[in-house]
This record gives sequence, C-alpha cells and structure tokens, in this order.
Amino acid sequence: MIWQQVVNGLALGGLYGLFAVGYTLVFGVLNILNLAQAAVYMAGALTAQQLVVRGVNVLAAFFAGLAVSGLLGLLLEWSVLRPLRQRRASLLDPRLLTLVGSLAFAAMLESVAFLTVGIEIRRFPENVVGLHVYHIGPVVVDRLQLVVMLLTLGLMVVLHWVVQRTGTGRAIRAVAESTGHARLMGINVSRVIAITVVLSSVMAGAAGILIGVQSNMVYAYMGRHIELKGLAIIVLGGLGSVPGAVLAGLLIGLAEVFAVGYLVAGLQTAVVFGILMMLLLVRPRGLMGLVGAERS
Amino acid sequence: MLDVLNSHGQLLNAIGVNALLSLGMWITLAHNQEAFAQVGFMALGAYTSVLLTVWVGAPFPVALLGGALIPALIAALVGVVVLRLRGIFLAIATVAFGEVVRGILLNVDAVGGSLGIDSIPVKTTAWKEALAIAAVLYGLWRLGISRTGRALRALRDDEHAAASNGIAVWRTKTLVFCLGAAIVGLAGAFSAHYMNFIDPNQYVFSKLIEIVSFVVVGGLVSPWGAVLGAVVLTWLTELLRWTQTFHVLANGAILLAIVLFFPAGLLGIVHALGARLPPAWKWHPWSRQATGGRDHACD
Repeated sequence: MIWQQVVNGLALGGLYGLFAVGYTLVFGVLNILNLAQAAVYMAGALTAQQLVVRGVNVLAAFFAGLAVSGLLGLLLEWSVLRPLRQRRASLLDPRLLTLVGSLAFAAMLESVAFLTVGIEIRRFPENVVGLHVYHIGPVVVDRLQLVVMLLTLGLMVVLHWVVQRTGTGRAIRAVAESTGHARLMGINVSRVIAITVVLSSVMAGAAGILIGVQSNMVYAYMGRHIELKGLAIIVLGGLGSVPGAVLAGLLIGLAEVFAVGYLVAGLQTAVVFGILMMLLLVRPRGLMGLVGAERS
Repeated sequence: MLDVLNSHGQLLNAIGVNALLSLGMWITLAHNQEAFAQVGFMALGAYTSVLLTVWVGAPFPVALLGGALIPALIAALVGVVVLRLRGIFLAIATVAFGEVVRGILLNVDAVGGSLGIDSIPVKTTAWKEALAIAAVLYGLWRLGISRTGRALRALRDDEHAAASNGIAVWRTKTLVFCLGAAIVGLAGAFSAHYMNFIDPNQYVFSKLIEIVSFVVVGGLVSPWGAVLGAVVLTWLTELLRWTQTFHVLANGAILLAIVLFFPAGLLGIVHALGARLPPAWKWHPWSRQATGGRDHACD
C-alpha cells in the first residue's frame, strides 16, 4: 500500500516537476515569472487531445502538441517578452509589465481555447496506449502510467542533456549567470532567451499532455490548477534551479498523494501554501537556490 | 436593452467595488511593493463585515469599519514577517497568504465552509460607494502632501537613500501594506453587501489578476489612474457582454495593448492629450509625470 502511494506520488510529482522546470528556466535567464506558461500547458494538451480524437497516431499527436507549445512560446517571446525587454526605462517596473503582459497572453490563449472547444471537459479515447496491468513487487502499474512515467523521465534526461552538455545549454547557463558578461563573450543573448522560452514552453506542453492523458481531463482552464502549484514548487526548489524544481516537484507530488491518502483532503492547499510562506521566511533560497537571490 | 437598464444599478455597484479594489492594489504597487495579498484581505474584510451584520446585527457603517480595520490589523501582523522579503519572493509569499486565507475559510464550518454565507442583507448602494471612494481619494491626497507621503515616495525611489535620510523604512512599508489591506477590505465589505452571498471561491487568483489589470490599464502614476482603470474595464466588460465569451479575449487584447504601447496606462494617454485638465488631475502629489519626472520629495 505504502509503496503504491510512493510510486503514484513520484509519478505525479515528476509531471509537476516537468511543468515547474519551465518557470525556473525562464526565471533563470530573464528574472521574471512567465505566467503564460499555464496556458501553453493547456494548449499542448488540447492540441494532442483534439488530434487523437480525430484519429491521428498517439505519438504523432504528442509531438504535434509539443510543436504547438513551442510555437506559442516563440509567439510569446516575439509579441510580448522581447518588445517589453527592449523598451527603455519607463515609469513602471518592467518586471511588473512583463508579468501582466504574460498574463494577458495567457488570458487570450485561454479564451481562444474556450471559443474553440467550449466549456466541457474533453477526453482522450479509452486506452490510448492499450490496456495492460503490470505487477512489480507490491506495486501495481498500468501501461498508461508506465508510459507517462517513462516519458517524464526521458524528457528530463533530454532537458538535462541540453542544459548541461550542449553549447546552447552552456549559453543558457551563461545568460542566467550574467546577461552582460554573456554578451561580452559573444553570446547572442536575444536568441538564447528565445530558445529558453521555447524550451520551457515545450516542457510545459509535455506536462500538459501527460497530465491530460493521465487524468483524462482536458479543458480550457486546466492551467489554473497547476499555476500556483508550479510557483510553490519553484520556490521550494530554489528560483532558477532546474534540479531543485524537479526535486521539489517530486516532494509536492508525494506530499499531495499522502495527504489525500492519510489526512483530510480539504485543508491540503492551505497547508501547502502555509508551509511555503514559512519556507520563504526561513530559507528564501529554497532547497537548491543561490544565496542572496531574495535580496535582488 | 431593458436588460442593460436593469443591470445599471448593478454596474454602478460593481464599478464602485472595483475602484476600491484597484485603489487598494495601487497603493502597494505604486510604492514598489510587489505585494499581492489583496484577495486575501478582501476576503477577510468581506467575512468580517458579514459576521458583524449577520451575527452581531451591527449597523452598516460599523460593519464597513470592521471590514477595513481587521484586514489592516492582520496586515500589520503578516507584514512583520512578510515584508522582509522583496521582489518576486514577496509576490509569491503574499499570493500564498491569499491561498492560506481561502483554504482556512473553506474549512471553517462556522462560516459556512465552501458554501459560504448567504442571505446577507443588501445594504450597498452606489452613492455609499462613491462616498467611500471620495473619502479614500481625499485621504490619499492628504497623505500625499504630508511628511509621510514624501517619505513614501522617497522610499519608492531609493530605499537605501531613504533609510540614510532617517526614514523609518520598515514602519513606512508596513503602513503601505496596511493601507492597501484596509482599502480592499472595505471593498470586500461593500461587495459582500450587494451580492447577498459570499463564499471563499470568490477570492481566487484570477480575481487578483483582474485587480492588477485595473491598476496597470489605468496607470500607476496616480490614484486617479487606478479609479480610471477600474471604471473603464468594468464598464467595457459589461458593454461587451453581448459578445458572450469574446469579452475575455477582448479584455486580454486591451490589457496586452496597454502594456505594450501605453505603459503609463490610460492616465498616461489622458496626460498626453490634455493640457486643459483641471489642475487637481495634473498636479496630484503622487504623480511623477506631473512634476516632469522629478518628485516633490526631491525638490
């Protein structure tokens, strides 16, 4: 029983981590929260679901969902983030403007989705990956859950590889460290930021598709349920830290599953955010964040 | 058409509540305090005032006063710990505070849990709201031309310089936080007494976003901008309601356009257009534009 809960918690937490990684990547290079990400998460899931329902191959639909998410990220960067970044000093804090701009983008995306598919919850067809139940020791996993877990793991490995092992990843880390110095070293900062936004959008879209398949609920406002959870996760993990976000995602997923299993279900949000507030006061840099970031 | 006429009183009430909410958000944002606890304080104000009228049977002005004071008091307590943070950390901590308030209200059965409280006596009228808005604006004006107001602006522009000039940074920050809480608490009390029922899910993250967009659309430069943004956006939503769900899309597009092209908000446009505005609009003490980029505090 307890091992089953652990596996369920880790599976859920991995998906949360996948979503939160996008927040933290963009925060790392831009020092802003990209609140449009919850809407991109929804758009990815909705694209994949609509394609599968129309008879497209599941894997193809998955990659199409990722592609749409990435394109939306690019659109966000070109239409909102870059113009606001390039503006000269204004009366307002540019970070506040970017926050509100990304929110406006999210609101538009959500209402477009709403106008396209309406209010009702859309579902994937039964058994998109076939039905088979595996017994691994004391744990029971069905094929869908296994596929989702493997894909989550795979995407995280790919992300880790991109960020740690490729030239682009090195450029991303350099810009996150210091935009000015990265520019002096000949890095095309604008391009790196665009890549980061696209990468984080793809990760959000992937999380959306996988959570959509697993819960089998896809709808225009599905992003709102994960938006605040994602914020809690990146703070817990430490803003800007990718491994921190994954670790915190796993912890929150476990906590959630165990809270539903062993505690009252109603108070769980209040407890999570209460802990978050306390954490911010005691250790604002989170589990794996940098020292002093909270003072900037 | 008849529908529009019928909803007229309701529209005025909604505008009044939103203008107050917007003012409560304005005061924190305009002082570089990225505190987003407003929906939490709104909920506290609403519940306090409703408990006063329904349980105690207090007259409406007392309920309003309670609805403003209790959030301010709690803000003072929360501020002690939360205001040590700044920037994105302050933002997330205060959003978390709002969620904690909502989570607690959802689980306290004495105040109805997730069902909330219904059959609240309807006591809000548009003129009472107008009076409250006028009082808040007058208060902000007096604050703006006072010594404390100069301290607030000095703090806004440069915290270290303000501190080195002997301004009590921490006390001034707490003052801003509490004032914001009191104003949105008042708005919550008004809204509870015209909607006739309250439940914790009125005070969600999306409501907070709505309030922030009032301030940004109106313009942060002065309290007039906050009021203007609330009036225009509330009215526009009502005006576009016949387009069904398109109004959300339109609202998003307007918000984006303002952010991209008019960062000073509607008030910025008004300033740019009008040399003929009454002096009270142009020379409001909070306005940075009115003094040509310089502030009274620096003169």
